[in-house]
Amino acid sequence: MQQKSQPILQIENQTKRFGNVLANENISMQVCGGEIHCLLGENGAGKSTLAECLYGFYRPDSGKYTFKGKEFKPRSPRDAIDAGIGMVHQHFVLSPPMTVIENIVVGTESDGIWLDLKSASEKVAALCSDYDLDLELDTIVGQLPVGRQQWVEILKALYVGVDLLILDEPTASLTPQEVEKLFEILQKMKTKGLSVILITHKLHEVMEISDRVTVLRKARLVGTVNTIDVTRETLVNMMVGRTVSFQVAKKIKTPGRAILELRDLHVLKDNGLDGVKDFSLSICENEIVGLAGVAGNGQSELFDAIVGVRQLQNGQILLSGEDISNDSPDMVIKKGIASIPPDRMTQGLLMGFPIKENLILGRHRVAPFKKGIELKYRVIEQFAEQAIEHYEVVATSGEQIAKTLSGGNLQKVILARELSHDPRFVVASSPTRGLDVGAMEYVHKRLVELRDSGIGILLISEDLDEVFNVSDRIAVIYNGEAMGILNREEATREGVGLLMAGFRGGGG
Amino acid sequence: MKYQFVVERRQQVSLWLNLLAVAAALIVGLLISAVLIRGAGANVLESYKALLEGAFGSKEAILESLVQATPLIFTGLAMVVAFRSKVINLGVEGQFLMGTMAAAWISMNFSYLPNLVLIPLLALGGMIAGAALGFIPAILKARLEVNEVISTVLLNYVVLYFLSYLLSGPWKPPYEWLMQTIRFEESTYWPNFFESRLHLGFFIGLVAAGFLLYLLQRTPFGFELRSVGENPVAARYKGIKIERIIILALLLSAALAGLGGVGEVSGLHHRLITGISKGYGWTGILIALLGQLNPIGVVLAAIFFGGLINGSVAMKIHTGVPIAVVESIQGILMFVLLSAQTMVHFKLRRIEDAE
Repeated sequence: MQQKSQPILQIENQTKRFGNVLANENISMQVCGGEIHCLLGENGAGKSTLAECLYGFYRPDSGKYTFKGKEFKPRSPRDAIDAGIGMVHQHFVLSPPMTVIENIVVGTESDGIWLDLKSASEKVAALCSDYDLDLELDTIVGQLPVGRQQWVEILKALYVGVDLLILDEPTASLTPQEVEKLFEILQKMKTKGLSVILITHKLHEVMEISDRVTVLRKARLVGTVNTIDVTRETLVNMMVGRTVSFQVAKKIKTPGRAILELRDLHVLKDNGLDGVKDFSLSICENEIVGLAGVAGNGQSELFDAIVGVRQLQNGQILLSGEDISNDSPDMVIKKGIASIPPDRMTQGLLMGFPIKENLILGRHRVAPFKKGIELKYRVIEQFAEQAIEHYEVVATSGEQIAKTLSGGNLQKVILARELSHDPRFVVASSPTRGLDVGAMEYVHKRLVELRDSGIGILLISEDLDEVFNVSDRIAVIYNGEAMGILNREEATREGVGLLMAGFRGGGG
Repeated sequence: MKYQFVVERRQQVSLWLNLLAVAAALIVGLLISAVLIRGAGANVLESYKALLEGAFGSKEAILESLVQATPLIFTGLAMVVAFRSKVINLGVEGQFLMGTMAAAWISMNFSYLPNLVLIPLLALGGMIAGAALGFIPAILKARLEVNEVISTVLLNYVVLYFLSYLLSGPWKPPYEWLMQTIRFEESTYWPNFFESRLHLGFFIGLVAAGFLLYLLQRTPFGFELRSVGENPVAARYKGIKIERIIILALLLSAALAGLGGVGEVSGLHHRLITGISKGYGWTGILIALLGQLNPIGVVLAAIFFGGLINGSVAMKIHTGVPIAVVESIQGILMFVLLSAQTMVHFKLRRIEDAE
């Protein structure tokens, strides 16, 4: 426990607005020396804003920081780094064509015009052995796996000698094994007396690693608690303001006939390299197949191939036995495949258009929305009203412009569009990415309802919690190849994690 | 306590705020212009009075302003199609000239046909000629991803010099001193109205605006066109054939420009002259933006600008303000109006400084 140590950082009454949106309202918190402090909250609760103000990215409208006993007023990230605060962003700020050591020293050598890479290398090598990191310093960063790129980010901060390191959703794109390693690093930092602020919305991480938790909800502070004094349930309650069930209620269903069969698919990436290789998978009626994998292992190419926007080099896609390989996207839609794209804002929605027009995109050439040569806006408006009500979209009306909606509500608009027309098959890619717990629960419930009604679903997701929560079978994709398929009952997180990292023979 | 200001984007802009911005912009523009007019040694109030009366002060003035507005309605609508689909057609000038050439060619070769046949034939010919020029960048973009900004701009010069060639030789009568064709037969004239220079082109422009509004807002094609302009990736995922929309949007834009060219030949000049387009294709960009990419807005913006052109002539004649100053005033007014339209989307907010 950390009661004895002095607070290294004190935030008092921070308020920050963006336009009319209140991002932080009167938030106060303390971080002690040598503690791992989680900042927990749903998306849009204000966690990142709080951290980015502290790191000097934004300036708070009001509030006061005291860092290491002195008042601290960062005007830029430079100020924060000089004072001893480092930050690892969700999207790394590394230069992929440069080596590890070059990435670490860039911007730190202040005297003279010559880079003293040799002594820098010695210093970094010492850090690596301290933290038990097995890293070649002359490797090109772009060739490292994501987990190791994150090490480089952390080393950058350690190299300049920070006292407090902020990590923003650091586990989002890591395998379970990489997460474990990251947590070891953080524990070592703690024993060396460094402090860590870990921003997350994943409860099991909070329970596993943190000493204390500060919970934010809707821009306000809910409170700070000692982790050992609370349970997951208490934290959810603090975070969401109500109780949430994690386990989706699922009826036992025997899978029916195969509805979608992927046979030996070969699909290229945009750069001409292999995206998906010899990939075979079949999904039955009444079944959700979860496809786990670390981001960038061919999931997006597979999604594109199924919905018809990416050409197959080889292989076949069968829908109820009918060959739909290389059908155009509009044909695929007509034949009853609904799709929830991984990137809803660029692939799924017209952000500058009203909700009602987003709801008919893709069905704008069929009755009842089209009659003769005209779009029937009265029908469209009625449909929008029903969809908003049925899918609980928080919006004033179908006229509201999409970009004014929150992420969860945008996803509901896509769900309403895709699921309202009796699909035969649904391919959903990261359907809950960036959603808060409440919206996530809702999406999972809808998917399970559809599965219960007889539809086959392919759920492509990087979130293992999600895959384990709703799937009947779990497949794993690594480097574009199918690594195996397991029944939910026989799958373990560790086994799936090994498959995600490319080790065959993992699994059960 | 110290205060500082931050600039923020407005979520929504009300109609009143828009009108207020237009009014404020006009006042600012007229104040800046006043300095120029004083500098030229003329009386400011008298000059503005002449400008206003010359533009909209009498029936004749209004009708002549509408004549000036007519080509701008077409080029403005052509740019609306382009902006809405994000197919940036900067070849409106050349497509407009194609329309004038088609009208001239038909007028010279088919003048024996009755007027009632020639009126629609000229319109059709102009649209086809404009669209034919638009087809080249369209197919290049859709098939080979050639940037349409470059291809459309360059084709303008091809057309411009081809027109110069025609007017300096093949289409110029030997006795003619100016670079222009003969005066066409009356059978090829589009009708005039109200005993003025106002011709059928203006009314076709109004119909075209109505048609375009309906097309964009009420038909699946218009929806697809707007969708591609808003987000081509999402459009493609949801089954819209992007290449087809790009080609059709450019053809439509170019056809509207060509139709505008016909009006100037068959409705106004009744011959093809050098400089028949006073940069209408380029002004169309401003008209489309000033009209907020809305067909009805384009009609209003074109009439405003037509009035400005027409009133400027009166101002020059009555007060002796030199032409350079008159044209600067046109530029200043467009500049402040377009700036106001952008600025109205932002606001200043006072925040308490942390110090």
